[in-house]
Amino acid sequence: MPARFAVEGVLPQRSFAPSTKEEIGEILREANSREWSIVPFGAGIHQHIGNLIPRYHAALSLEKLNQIPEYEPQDLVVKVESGCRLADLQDRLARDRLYLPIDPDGFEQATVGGIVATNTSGPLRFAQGTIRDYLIGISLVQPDGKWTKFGSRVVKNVTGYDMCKLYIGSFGTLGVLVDFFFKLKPIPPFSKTVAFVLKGLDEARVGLERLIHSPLTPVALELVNPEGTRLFNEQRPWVKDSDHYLFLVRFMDLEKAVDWQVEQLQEMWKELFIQGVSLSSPSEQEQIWRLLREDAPWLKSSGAPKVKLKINCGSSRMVDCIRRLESYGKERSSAVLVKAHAGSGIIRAYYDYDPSPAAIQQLTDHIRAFRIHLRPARGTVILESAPANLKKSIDVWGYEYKDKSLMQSIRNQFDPHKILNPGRYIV
Amino acid sequence: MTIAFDKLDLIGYNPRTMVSINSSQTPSQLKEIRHALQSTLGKERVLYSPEELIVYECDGLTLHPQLPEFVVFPSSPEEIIAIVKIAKEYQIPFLPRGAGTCLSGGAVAVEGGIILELSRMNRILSLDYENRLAIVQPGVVNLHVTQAASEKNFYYAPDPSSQMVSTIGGNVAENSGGPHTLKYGVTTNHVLALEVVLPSGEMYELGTSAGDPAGYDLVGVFVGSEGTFGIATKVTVRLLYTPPAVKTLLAVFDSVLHATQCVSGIISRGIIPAALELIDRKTIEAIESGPYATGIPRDADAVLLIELDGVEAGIDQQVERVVEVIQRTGAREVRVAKDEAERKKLWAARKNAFGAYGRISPNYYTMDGVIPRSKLPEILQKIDALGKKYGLGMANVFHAGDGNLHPIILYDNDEPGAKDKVLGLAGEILQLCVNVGGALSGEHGIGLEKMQFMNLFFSQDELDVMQRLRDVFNPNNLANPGKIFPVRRGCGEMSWNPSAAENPKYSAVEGMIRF
Repeated sequence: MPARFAVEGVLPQRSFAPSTKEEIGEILREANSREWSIVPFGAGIHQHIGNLIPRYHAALSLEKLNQIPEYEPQDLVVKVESGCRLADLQDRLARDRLYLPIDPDGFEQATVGGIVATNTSGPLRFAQGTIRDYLIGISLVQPDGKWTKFGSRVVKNVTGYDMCKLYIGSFGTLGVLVDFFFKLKPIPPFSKTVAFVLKGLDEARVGLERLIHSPLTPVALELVNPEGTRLFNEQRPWVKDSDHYLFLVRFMDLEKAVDWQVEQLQEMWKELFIQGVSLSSPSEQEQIWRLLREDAPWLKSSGAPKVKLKINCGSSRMVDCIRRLESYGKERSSAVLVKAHAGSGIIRAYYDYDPSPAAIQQLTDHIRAFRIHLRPARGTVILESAPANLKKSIDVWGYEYKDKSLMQSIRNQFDPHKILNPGRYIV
Repeated sequence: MTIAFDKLDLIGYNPRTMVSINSSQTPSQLKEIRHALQSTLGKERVLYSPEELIVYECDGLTLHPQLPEFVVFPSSPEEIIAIVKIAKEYQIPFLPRGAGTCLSGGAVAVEGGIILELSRMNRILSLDYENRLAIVQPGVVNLHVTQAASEKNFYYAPDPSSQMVSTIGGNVAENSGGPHTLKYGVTTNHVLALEVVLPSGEMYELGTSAGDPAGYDLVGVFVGSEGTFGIATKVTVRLLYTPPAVKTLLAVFDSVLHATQCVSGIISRGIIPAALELIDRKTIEAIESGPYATGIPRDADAVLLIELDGVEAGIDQQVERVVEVIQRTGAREVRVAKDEAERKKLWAARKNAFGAYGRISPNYYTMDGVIPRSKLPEILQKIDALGKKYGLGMANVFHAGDGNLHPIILYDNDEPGAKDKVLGLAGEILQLCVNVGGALSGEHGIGLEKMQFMNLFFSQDELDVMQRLRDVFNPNNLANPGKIFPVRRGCGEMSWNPSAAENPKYSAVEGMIRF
């Protein structure tokens, strides 16, 4: 059994690599009658998200369904199979100066099916949205083996319920996703990135507020804490003083519009930052945005195992939440790396993992308290990456809102035998 | 896009002869329900006599009138819960209604029951600029959100033509679009969270405005569920900063074909305008004969209304690029609106086009279909040919950039058999859309209007999956029953029969629409 099919170190008894939807249907019907548990697999790079799997019979790899069967550059629409890598899709689209404007973690390896299933997104989400804003058609094999398709190649469609939405972020629990129609956008002709070294965290709050009340339209707006800034400077000495918070802002538009906006922003923030570094070379920008988008460099920053939290708190609570994360680190003299989609109110925090029972207790208490803190805002604190021992001590999702019962009913309705990813998701 | 029902034609019939009470409740049960509703809301907020109910027999779709048993006017989520609990206790259908501008019959009580009229729930609860959102009650008028947020230069992007009257709750139910959805997306792209009351009488919060929602996207499936999942009692919508620079262009063409080629030309040059609308000759004639006349040349075959927005820097460059495409595709003339007044005038003409048809035809039927935009030239020609085959006049005004067609069938209801012909033609147009990879509705919804066409687009397995999802929210089918899904009565009513469409003499309508 190839090691790539391991989930949290557990290998399945067997693996399938079907090349048609009919084969997928057969596998799922068999799984229902034998009560197998199946894990659909794209590139597998986000399989670390989820609770520990209680039983794991077979991996169902979509590697053979990796084509781009229909592409209409004129219509700005593409049909792509689940196992196609995002990078391969973007290469094809770039020939027509088009792209699917998402830049999730694992950009080079991730498959489009995996991206839809996990609803991963990257810095571009500030202006361009997430995969939810581009998925217009989907076909999937239902858990009972029946093939169904919803939506189509048209960009606007209210024919029946908007079923595409149900499968985004469903982590493979409602069916095996076969192919998709996506809306596309033209690649903007010009891009510029500015890194602002901020005087302090309060300046981030002020800066964000001023930006929101301005006509400027950055495509990405990311904040990293001083530990994160040091990670940037390790790669290359971007900034003079790495003991500060860093705001990274990107504009993509006509050159004239980009230059004007960069000038405006520098003026608007002039007393908030101590250094501003403006980059227009595509390769330099790519280096910065790769570091922001990818998790791997952050998880590996100190060589020690790391725990990663995703905190969905909303923009107005972001600074407060970052303080909370950092004070936890300071109390334990252990660094916490923070990067945040500042405009969307989503934080990623990376902690050093201490396997001692006392440390695990402290960390799980911290996470639980954080969840309670965000309850009034309907925020969530998700343990996106953690060693198995920690996952044994706390639910990864911590989703305790009333609508969980509706989610449970949906799950029961469509996968009554729990053959798909049992035990790993919220329901 | 929806429009005010008072501006629509009535596909002429006499409501009083057509409407009957539909309830399965006995008179004594109805009396009990009435008392229960009255004790919850007070007598003045419960309508039940046929003469008062007649206003609520239909929405913008006038084909299938049906009186509800009750119309009630709740003013709080608590009252909505109480009403839904009454409906549940007596197993009587219920449905919400906003401004009643729906064009697909979403707000028609086709199986009778209680209509919850939400106009009293019209408060904007919060304008939160820091998080770029507004929290509103469902009865808030779409345009009022933008008007309120304009104090800080923000706005709510989805702009159905009905936006002066249609409500956010109705927009959520129908997943409404509008001209500016080309660049900014439809309702679902702008709704972050909902508070809903389900047919169980339980209230739930769905989604979140705090970052990414976790779990299944319940907001995503609720938006566009046409009132069949329950009632939204609070809606959290995204606000956007108003672009400081806007340029509106009018391109005049001697050939509608060239106009559609221009649409593809603009999009394939990598330009996404904020809006890209096509107005054809018949519609120009209607507009120019009415109060919204803006001086569009009456002899033009089609005009494109194109809007570009963004920051001031670079907007002229965008305009230049679009003008270049317009000229290359053979436009006769291109005008750029010189000021805000001229821009507003152009948009008023576009948004009131539907009302203008009354000047050129005794009756008209507004359709909604959607196709890949590169198929526009082909499909417009075919639709034209179909109109000729049926001997009916056709007009077109639509969201060309999205491939979202609104063919308007012009007819005279006094001519015998007119209605059959109209519905036969409409069925063929929808079949055309589906044949080129399109869909039955881009923004008006399925409702009552198109439920019998659903199997053109979906297999039985797919319809089953959607109904199973509905069962999660609405297990006893009390919330807006008789919508979206084909009704299985006789086999003749089961589905649209394409072979019947080939021969207009064969009464295709028998198979698709109940009168």
